[in-house]
Amino acid sequence: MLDVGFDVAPGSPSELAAAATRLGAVADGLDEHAGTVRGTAQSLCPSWRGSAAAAYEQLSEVIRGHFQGAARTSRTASAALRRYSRELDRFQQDGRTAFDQAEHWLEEIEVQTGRLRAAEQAVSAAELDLAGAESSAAAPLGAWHAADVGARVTAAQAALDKARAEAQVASRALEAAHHELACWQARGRSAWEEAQRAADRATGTLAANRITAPLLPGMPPPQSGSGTTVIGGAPPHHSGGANLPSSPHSGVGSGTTVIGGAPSHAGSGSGSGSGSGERKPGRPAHPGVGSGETVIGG
Amino acid sequence: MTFFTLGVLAGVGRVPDAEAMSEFVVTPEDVIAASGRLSAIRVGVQELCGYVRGCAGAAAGTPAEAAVEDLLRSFAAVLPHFGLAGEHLGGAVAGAGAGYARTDSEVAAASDAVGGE
Repeated sequence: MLDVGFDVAPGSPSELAAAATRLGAVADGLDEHAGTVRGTAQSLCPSWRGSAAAAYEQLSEVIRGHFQGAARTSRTASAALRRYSRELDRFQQDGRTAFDQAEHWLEEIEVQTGRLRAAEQAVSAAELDLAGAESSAAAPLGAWHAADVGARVTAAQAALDKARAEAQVASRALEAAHHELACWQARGRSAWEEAQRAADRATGTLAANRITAPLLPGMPPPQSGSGTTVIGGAPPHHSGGANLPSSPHSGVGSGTTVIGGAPSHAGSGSGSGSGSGERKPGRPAHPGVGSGETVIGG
Repeated sequence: MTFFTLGVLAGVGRVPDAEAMSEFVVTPEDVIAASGRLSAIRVGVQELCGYVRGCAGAAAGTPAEAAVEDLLRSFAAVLPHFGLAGEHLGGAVAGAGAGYARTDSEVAAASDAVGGE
């Protein structure tokens, strides 16, 4: 393969497009889960009232917000990759066209260079022939011989003229080929640079687009997340219920929101009251979810 | 069966404090369905994690490769937390239902005991 002086931008537009589609599906899925969180809260909360219900609703909203934020991030990333995929495809096509043309004109340069050399050799040979014929013409000769020498000079001159014309044609063709090569090289480099700029734009969008997770108790914070939200105070378990927030506070580290935290009541009471106005001694005063207690704050 | 629990009462023989009162009026089927929907989020999120893994190498060789891989790493690290968040909510709903049901049972048992004396 000839060295045309530039490269076609690397990368696979189809792979990028497939990734964009997958991230779009991730965005749709996250939105759907956000809808599930909201829908479930809406279906429960009208018939569930009290501090635990309020805490649950608040927790649902926080988690739903995270799902929606992550869906936005995913959708933005998907759009950035799809745009980059399209741009890269276009600039690769431009680059390949330029590459093929540049290869063609490099070959043409080789051909025309060969023609020019041959023509120049023909000129040299014709000049020698002409010089020989002219020197023969200068010698004292008979009439019949003078006519022959005259014919030789004329032929040599004609051959010289023809060789010079061919050299001129080859020279012009070579010059045109160089010009074409330079043009296609410029287009090829431009396509590469445009692809680079498209990659830079995608990089900028992706780098500015961060996903944050609701950080649950018992789990380490995500390594690459720039912000997390701490929710609740204990790992989830179906049989015993979960600790729900009632008062969010923020400001634990940059970009961190903490709702709930360590339980303020770790009891296992099952709530109290019967609807008849009675309260059993020793029961917690504020039943919550599962354990009968609402656990607030850290 | 319907749970109907007044969770907080101001004291024995007194009118309940309306502000502190807690109510949960749903059927066990509703609670199970709600909890199931929320807990299923984790499975759904695992599927989304698979989509994200499928994106690996999509930008290989391009100048955007590092940014894309960073983003995918970030998603892979964070998405499981969303699954757990769904499970957390599901656990909260299931726990609430179970808690209120226990309360009903205990109150009923106490009432029976008082009535039997």
